[in-house]
Amino acid sequence: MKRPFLEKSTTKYQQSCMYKFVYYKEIKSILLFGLLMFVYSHSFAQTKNESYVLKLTNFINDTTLNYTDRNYYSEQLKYYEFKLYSVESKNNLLNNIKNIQICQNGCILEIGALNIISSKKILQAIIDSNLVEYKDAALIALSRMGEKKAINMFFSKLNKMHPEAAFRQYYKEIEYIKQPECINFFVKLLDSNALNEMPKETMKPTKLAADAVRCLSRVIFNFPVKYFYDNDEDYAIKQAKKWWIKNKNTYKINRNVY
Amino acid sequence: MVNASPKKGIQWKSLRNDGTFDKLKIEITPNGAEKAVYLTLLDSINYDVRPKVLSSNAQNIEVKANQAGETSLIPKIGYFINDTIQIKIISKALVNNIARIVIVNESNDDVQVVPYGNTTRSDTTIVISSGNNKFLDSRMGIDIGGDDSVIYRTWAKDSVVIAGKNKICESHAYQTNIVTTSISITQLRNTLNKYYSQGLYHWNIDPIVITKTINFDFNRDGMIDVSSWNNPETKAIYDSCIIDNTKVNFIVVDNPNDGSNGMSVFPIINPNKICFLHPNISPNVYMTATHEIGHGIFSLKHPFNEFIGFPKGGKDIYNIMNYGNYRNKFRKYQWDNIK
Repeated sequence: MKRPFLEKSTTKYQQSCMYKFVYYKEIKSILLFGLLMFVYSHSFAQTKNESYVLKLTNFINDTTLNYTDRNYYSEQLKYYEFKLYSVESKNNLLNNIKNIQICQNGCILEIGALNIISSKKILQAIIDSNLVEYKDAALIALSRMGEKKAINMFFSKLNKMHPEAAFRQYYKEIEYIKQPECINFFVKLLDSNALNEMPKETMKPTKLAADAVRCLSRVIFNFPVKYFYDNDEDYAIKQAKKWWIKNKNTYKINRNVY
Repeated sequence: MVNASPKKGIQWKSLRNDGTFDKLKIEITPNGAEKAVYLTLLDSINYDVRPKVLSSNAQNIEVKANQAGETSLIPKIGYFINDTIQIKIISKALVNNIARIVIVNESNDDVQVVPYGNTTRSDTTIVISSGNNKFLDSRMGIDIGGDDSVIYRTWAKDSVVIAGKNKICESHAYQTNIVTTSISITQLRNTLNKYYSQGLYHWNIDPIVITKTINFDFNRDGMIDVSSWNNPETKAIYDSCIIDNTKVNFIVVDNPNDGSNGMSVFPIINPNKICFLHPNISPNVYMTATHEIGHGIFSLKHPFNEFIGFPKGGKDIYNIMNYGNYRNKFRKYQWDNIK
C-alpha cells in the first residue's frame, strides 16, 4: 500500500513511528469496534459513571464510526441510570437527533425517558416529517414526556387492535411511555384469559394477564407483586387486582427508570 | 397461528447498505443461455451488480447497495424480462449485539461431621452438616442411609443429618459438584454469525466466560427444572447470574429434567434475554444456541407452530427454527424480525 507522506529525509526512528501510525490507521476500522466493545464490556458495565455515559454519547455522534457501531451504542443508553447523564451528555443526545444523518432511535427514546423538554419541538418536527424510520420513536418519546396529543395518537393506533394482540406487539413501548393510560391498558388485561404460546411443548403455557402484572410491577412504585413463579401466577393476578381496587386513585408511576 | 405458509419460489438475498459488494452465486440453465443474459436491477441508482454480462452458466456475481430498501435483480434476455426468476434483494444496516456465556455448576458441599460407620454419643448427634451453601445436598436413600434422618434447625435456618436411634453414622456427605460441560466461545460466535448474517445481524461473544457454582437443585434430583420458565431452580440461577442484562445471556447448565437441548421463551416473558443451553444433551449445542436465541431475542416461532400444515421437523426442513439435522437457513419472513 502507498504511504505517500513518508519522506526519505526522515530518520529510521521517525519512519518507524510513522509506519506505526499508518498501520494504526489501516487497521483502525477493524480494531476500533473491537476495542470499544472491549472497553465497554470491561469497564462501562462495571463502573457506570458520568464520564462513561458521556463517552457513550460521544461515540453516538462520532461520524468516524459506522452506522452499525453507533446504533449499538445508542441501544446501550437505556441501561444507564438517569443521574449519570450530565448536561454535556444530554446536549450530545440533542445534537444527535438534530442531525438526521446520524440520528438514532435509541437517542430519541433516551431523550424521552430523560424528559429533556427542549427536545419537544425537534421530536414534533420528526413526527411531522417523512422520516419514517424515526417517527414511531419520536411519537412514543413525546408520549413519555406527557404530550397528550402524542399519547392520544399512540393509543388510538392501539385501540384499533385487539388488546391482547396490541399488548404482545407493543408491551415494551407501553411500558416505556409510563403514563396513566398505560396503567389502564395493563389493568384491563388482568381480566384476560389468553395464554402465551411457549416455544417448548413440554412447558405449560403461561397467562398473558401474568405478563401484565409483571409490566405493572416494573412501572408502579411499591407494587406489591414483584417476582412470582409460573405456578403462582393465578395468585399474583388476584393480588394485583385486589391492590388495584384499593390503590387506583393513589398509585404513583415510577418514571425514574427507562 | 395463521392460515398461511411462506411463499414459495421467491429467492432473497440480503445485503449491507454500506456500499460493500457481496457475493451471490447464480446459475443459468440450459447451458449456453448465459450468453444471452444481461443482469439488471430494478433500482440501478442505489444498487449495483457486476459483472452484468456472464461468462459461464454458473458463476459468482457481486451486488451492492447504498441505502436500505428492497429491489430485484433481473436477468434480462434482449427486451424480455422473465419476472419469475428474479432474485429479490433486501438491504439494511448490519446490527451488532453482544452475548455472554455463563456456565452454571451445581454446588454440593455437605460436610461429613462423623465418619461413615462410626458410633455417635447420642441419637441426635449431627453426622452431616450443610456446608457453605446452607443447603443439605445429601439425598435421602442415596447418600443418607439406615435410620439416619434429616432435621431442620430453626435457629440456624439449615437442615442437618442426625445419627438416629442406632447411634451410627450410615450416611455419606454429598460433596461432589456437578460440573457443566464447557462450550467454545469461538464456535458459538462463528455459528451464530454464520446463520444470523443472513438477517444482517452480527454477534460478538464476551471473551470472559463466567462460571458460577451455585446451589440450584432444590429437589435434589441432580437436574435443573426446566418444565417452566419461572420456578425456584431457574430463579436461583437468574439471581446469581443475571448481573448484566445489557447482553444476551447464554446460561449453560447440564442435565435438564425434560431431556431438552435448550430453552428460551419469547421476549415478553424474558426481559433479561436468557437462553438455556444443555450441552451434555444437545448433539449440536451451537445450532441449539442459534435456534434458542431466535425465540428469546427475535420472537421467532417454530414453523410448525406458526403455519397450519407444517409437521414438526418436516416440510421446511432447512429452517433453523424447525427441528432436525438439515437446518441452515432463516427465511425472509424471519429476517424481518431479526433486528
